[in-house]
Amino acid sequence: MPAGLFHENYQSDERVFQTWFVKAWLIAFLIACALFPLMASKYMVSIMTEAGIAIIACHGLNVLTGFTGQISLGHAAFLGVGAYTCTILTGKAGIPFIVALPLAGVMAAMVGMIFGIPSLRLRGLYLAIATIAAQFIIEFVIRRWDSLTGGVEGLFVDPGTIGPISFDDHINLYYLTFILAVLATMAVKNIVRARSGRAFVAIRDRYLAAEVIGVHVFKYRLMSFAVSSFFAGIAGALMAQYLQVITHESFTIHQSIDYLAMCIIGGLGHILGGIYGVGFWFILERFLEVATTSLNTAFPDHMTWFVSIREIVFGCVIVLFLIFEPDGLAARWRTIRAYWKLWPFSY
Amino acid sequence: MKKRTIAFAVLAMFFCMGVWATNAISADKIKWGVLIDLSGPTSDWGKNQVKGQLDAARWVNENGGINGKKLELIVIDDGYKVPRGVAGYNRLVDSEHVLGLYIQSTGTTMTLIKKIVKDGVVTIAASFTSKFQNPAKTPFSFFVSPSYGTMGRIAIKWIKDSWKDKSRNPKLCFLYPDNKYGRDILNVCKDYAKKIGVDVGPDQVINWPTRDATPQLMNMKRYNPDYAYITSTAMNGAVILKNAKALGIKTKFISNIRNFEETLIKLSGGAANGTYGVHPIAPYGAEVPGMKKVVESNEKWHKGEMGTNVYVEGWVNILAVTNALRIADKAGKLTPTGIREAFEQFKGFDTGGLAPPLTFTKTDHRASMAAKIYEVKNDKIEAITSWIDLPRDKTYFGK
Repeated sequence: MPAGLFHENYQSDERVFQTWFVKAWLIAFLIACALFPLMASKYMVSIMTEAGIAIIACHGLNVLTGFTGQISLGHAAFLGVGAYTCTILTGKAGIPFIVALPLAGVMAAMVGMIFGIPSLRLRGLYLAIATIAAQFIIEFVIRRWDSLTGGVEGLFVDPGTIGPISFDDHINLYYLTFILAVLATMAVKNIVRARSGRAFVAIRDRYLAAEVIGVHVFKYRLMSFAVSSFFAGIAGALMAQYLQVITHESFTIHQSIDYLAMCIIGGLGHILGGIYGVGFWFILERFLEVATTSLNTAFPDHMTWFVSIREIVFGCVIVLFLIFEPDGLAARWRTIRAYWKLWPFSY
Repeated sequence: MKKRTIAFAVLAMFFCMGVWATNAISADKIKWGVLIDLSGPTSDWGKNQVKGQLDAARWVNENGGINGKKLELIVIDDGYKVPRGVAGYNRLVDSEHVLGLYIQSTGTTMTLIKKIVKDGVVTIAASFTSKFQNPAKTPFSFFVSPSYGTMGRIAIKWIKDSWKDKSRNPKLCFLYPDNKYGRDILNVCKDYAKKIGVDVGPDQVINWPTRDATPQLMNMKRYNPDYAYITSTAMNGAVILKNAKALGIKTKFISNIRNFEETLIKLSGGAANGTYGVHPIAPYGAEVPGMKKVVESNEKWHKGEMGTNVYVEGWVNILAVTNALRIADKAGKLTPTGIREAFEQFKGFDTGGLAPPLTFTKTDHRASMAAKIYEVKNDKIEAITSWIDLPRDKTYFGK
């Protein structure tokens, strides 16, 4: 029996599940997630739904920023496009939710491609500024196109239904988000394993060399924008279901930056980066929530001292991750796993 | 390495003990939530508001509590972000099981409006939009002030009543940020201005965060209005007043409630002198019977810190909530519905002159219809009118 994992061909090297052990754990994790609403409180279920939505959004951003190397600071705006598309299609046009949901992704992808066009000429910081423009333009359109988007008043979201299942019930919404998050993870994994994924990575690492070896840089950059925005659109449609009312204030640049921070913490350019990042972010947030609430209750006179803890801790976490763990939690996890695999004979 | 591990373990233990200790004592307590911005763009306002609420709660608890029960405020910072506000709401309602809560942000309140009705949780809003005043639509929403629209109308009435030149109508412009809050009063106020004979000029949109309002003010100057009504916040409104002073604009500025506070005077560096404000809440230190405890508390617990009318507003909120909780408790109905019914029994509830008497009925959640016009003189807020009262008619109800 071989004492380790050896690949003899490319096919086995690219397999999704390298060992039965990984598969078993994953199945156990999925079962735990599926049973979660039966045990957890209403509040925890809503938090997990939010986390699931964030995972889908982060997968999208990871494809664009992590794998293709295009920084985007307008991701939340694409969520907004998805949210409004789905809500308007179901509410005003009467299209069933199950059709409107993918259409929200398609619409966001199309808008994403429009804002991706400058990526032909712009790179790095300049592209980041262009994506900020996307954020502001989309926000402005939402605010001012009163007849369609309800303007500053926002829109009430009709709860989506698939057959007898209504997503008014947050447990149903949790399951929908959960299923879509699993599908999104599988989709990203397969995009990255395929030809397009290799092209994305080539563009990220050395776009000139990629062009020389025959990668159509513009096409793949646009594709990356489209895929990224598609995921954002789906996440946005779910977010609309979760919030039940959407306004232009629900999809601000702060959200975009939060998503980017989650990706950085999790690990840009790792499939699991999005999941780890979101997990870490939400756990830290809950932890700080409990910490500040208990500090506030213990010292009510000094409340204003503790309220900024969250901002400070999040700022520090991002800086510390950039310095000490630029590859994020995904890379750290890999190191830990490698260490334990050979423990105690690590030589 | 070992030392570090031990240190970490000790810290973690202390933390757990802290959490346990705060959770352990819960008998005879009434939990009330506060969802407010303490770290975002309106945090200067939020901090004063929460300070007032906490001090008021402390004062209430030291003076008998809610029929002997302790009022506990659970404060959550939402950073003025809607998703965080929604998460905070879920936590307060589903996890902390509060009986009711205070919500500051208009965006969050609007987002939650359906959910609030469904969950049946009493909310006190900081967003004084008249859309929350019709119990047929929002049965669980209350606030302690006239609506933004009503205060705007009071200002317009004052403009018309104090206008001397009979040869023409007074001219007025609206300055506001392009959001839900900024646009809230426009329809009602413009309609009212037209009715009573005040000419309205072109709107000037001044967005947040305001760094420079010169272009909008120059634009406004072409129309040369006699009055300009500012809907903003102190931090942003101060920039408008400073720019206006630098440009030598003669227009008289009237600030709305969220703009007109002591912080505005401080931030505008003298430019606020000679400007007006319309406000239902007594300024800090005003000579009304209810002010004594407010000033004493601030001086006892926050020595050297400036008191503001936002701080006073925090007191009014908690005094109103306390009264409702007492009524509900006495009736043995300490539930959200019971608290709602308790609020609806308010008939001229007096906060000692801190705010006009509050009245709520089953069909009308308009707390009051009165405000005073104030002027900033030598960096001090001085009332220049007595209460200006508007009739409680249905013309602009819920609009």
